[in-house]
Amino acid sequence: MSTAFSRQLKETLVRATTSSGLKITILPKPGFHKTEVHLAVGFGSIDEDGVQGVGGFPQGTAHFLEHMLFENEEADPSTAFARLGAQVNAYTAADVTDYYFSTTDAWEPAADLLFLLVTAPAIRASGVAKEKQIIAREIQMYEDDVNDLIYEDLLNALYQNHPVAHPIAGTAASIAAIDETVLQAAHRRYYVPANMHLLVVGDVDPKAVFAMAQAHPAFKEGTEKPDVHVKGEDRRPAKTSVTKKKDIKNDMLMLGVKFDRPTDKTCFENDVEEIAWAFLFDGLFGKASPNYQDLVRKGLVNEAFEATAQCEPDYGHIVVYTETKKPAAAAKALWNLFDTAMDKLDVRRFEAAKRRLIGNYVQSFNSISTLAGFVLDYELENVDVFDLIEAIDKITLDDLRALLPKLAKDARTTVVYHR
Amino acid sequence: MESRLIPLDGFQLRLVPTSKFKTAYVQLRFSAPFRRETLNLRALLPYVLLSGTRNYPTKRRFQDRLDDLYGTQIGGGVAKQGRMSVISFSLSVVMEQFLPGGAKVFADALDLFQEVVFSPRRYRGGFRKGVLKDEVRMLREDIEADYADKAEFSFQRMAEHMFRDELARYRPKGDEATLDQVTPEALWEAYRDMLQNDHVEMTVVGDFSDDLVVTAIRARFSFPPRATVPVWVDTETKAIASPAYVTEHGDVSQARLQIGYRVLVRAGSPDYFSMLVANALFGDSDTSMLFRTVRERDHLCYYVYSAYAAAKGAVFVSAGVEPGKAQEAARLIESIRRDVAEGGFSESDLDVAKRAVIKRMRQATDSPRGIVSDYAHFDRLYGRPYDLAGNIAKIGAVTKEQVMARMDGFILDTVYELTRGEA
Repeated sequence: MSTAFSRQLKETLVRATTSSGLKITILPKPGFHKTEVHLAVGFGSIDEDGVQGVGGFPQGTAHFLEHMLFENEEADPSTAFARLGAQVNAYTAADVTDYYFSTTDAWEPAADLLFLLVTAPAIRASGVAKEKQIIAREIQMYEDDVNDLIYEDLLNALYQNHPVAHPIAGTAASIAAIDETVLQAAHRRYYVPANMHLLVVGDVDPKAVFAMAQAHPAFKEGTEKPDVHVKGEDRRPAKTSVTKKKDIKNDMLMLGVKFDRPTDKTCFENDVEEIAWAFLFDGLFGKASPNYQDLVRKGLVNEAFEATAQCEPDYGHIVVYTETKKPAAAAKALWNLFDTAMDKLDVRRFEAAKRRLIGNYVQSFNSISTLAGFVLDYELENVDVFDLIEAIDKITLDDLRALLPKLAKDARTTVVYHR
Repeated sequence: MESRLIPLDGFQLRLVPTSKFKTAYVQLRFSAPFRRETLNLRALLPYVLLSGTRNYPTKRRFQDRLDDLYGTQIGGGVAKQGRMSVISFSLSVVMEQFLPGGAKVFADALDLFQEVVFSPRRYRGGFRKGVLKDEVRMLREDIEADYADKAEFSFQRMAEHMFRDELARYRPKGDEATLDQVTPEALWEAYRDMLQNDHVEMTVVGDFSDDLVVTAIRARFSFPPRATVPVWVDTETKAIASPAYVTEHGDVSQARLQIGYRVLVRAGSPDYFSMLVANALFGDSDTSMLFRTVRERDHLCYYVYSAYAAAKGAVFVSAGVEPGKAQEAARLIESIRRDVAEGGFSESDLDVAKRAVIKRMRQATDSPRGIVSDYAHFDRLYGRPYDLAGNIAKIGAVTKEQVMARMDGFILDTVYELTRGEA
């Protein structure tokens, strides 16, 4: 077991790996009632394409598998956890399937149940057929979520063939191809201890967590971690413009800029770059910037406005989103701002943005669930969150200037309108 | 964690000392009787006050200042609680021992918070027209955005039918149709009225000595004496001969079902605790009778849950259903309700519901906001300090018969369905 201590935050992270390869991270929070336990599996929608020499799975397999493990009729997981005073949940993302519970009672019995449910599923044809209907309805419900839809449209327009553009739940057609054989094969390949990460945040004894996981029958086999695919991607977006008609009162606008990938940067470097982008956006059109106030005054953007960058090893992009009454004028004004970004970097504002981000990181240690969520993200990437918080302070204006060439409005950009 | 009430000039200060958090959290509440005539004024007021102060006159300068103070957060808004319109402001600031170099920010943050309330940006003795216009537009867009959220939209439509002749019909968030009628003068008048007449309370959660906090607050906040006596529950109701059934159409792929029940048990009642358990058992958890039956057993809906509006005396059931199946789902929901009222649940079901309620109570004390709302709400209604262990014991003591009695007390008022088709 290794221990990292942050002098600034007065917080501790304890890390260990079981003999079967399961990675464990514990963040003790004395005095808190709630304990949250995550068992994250390194299998998400972008893994469904498969790797060289190994066949892939239909779109939506990772999500379907998550449903099967937790819709297990005989076990009825929600009720079984509720009897132990725990509330259980799961989600599937692009790169991970995460199973977790929170409790204000003893964590051990619920953790025992979680480990067994995730590693020893009973996947039967009848259950798969039933679940297919539920997932089809879920996919249909996403069709009512206007914010999700525009993001999905943007990803589809940006990416030619990278699976990040695939809807995580799959489509009605792709889930039709999923049966118990597919699900069992995916489980065998990805649900192995070396491809899992256990995270515990709460008023717990780290030694007890490690001892329990080490001895647990769920993590006996030491199978190797499956290969991770790294995909190349054409630098041009699949489409430069998409317009859709929707039943909404405010039009929605989303701009995207695609980065060159893959890169050989480490995850830590990518995370620092994401933060540098956030500082750049803050100076350019953050809510405290003259540009943002100007855009609001002209009625081009509203409070929903946001800009983020995502930097992953094999995909990366910028997304700028707003609700607007004048979508074409708003798109034009935003592109123009990109062109003038070089002149908008202000030292004083940059320092303020840094302080705010440091403050926000400190604040997130107030909440067990917020903390578990973001620490898990970093731990999965092997990034030390304490190091990252220290790195924020070291970002300079020159680091931001170095990003600017990537903003040039050229063939890498896409715009999506919903009106 | 124990709270203490300290009377200061014109208001009560509630202190909750704890070392669990990285932040100090302050909430200031102004409560006045909820009236239709002042609804828009009070909806806009917190946003206008947050849009600029004397020393930080624009949103940009204000936000800049917050960022300088290591991401200090100052927020505000309006809500309805019982018969009251409550304007609240909150401050969350990182304690200096967790900042690089121990940067001193608490006093500065408190100064800024004080400025929001007492020193707004003025123009010829009132608020600036342009500032008001911006806030009206943003509030209007916020209200319009609810239209895109089909669950929220259908709930509002149901509430408008159910509470047609009652105060509860009006949303504190604002009335879109009359929003343009607000003038800078009327808004200034509402602001003066808030400072002069509203019932005021403040809660502070954090890790410091009482003396330090009391001195810091006393130096910055004082109000003249006032007579407003808050009424925290809304007992207005109507005679119900038979339930109302309403169907409306819109562009939805899933039908949205909203059912409104009246209940006589409200916050502050001795039966409140058994009502919490009854509601958790009925529909307010993913192990509830509704979820297990309507969703898991019969696959009639994607989601279904109930919510207990304790200050009003109502329980709302919301569900997303396949178009054409909403009435079937509504009948099933009501039959489950009757079944629970007749004792159709096990001791284990009861135990699970109690655990869910207890878990919520415990984890509320894991966040400053949760502490403020539970602690303050409790001593407002019961006139004694919040007692987590005592309340957990009360939940533990709830019997099967009490839950049956609570469920038997539901009166079906309105069944509303928003389904596919031309509006």
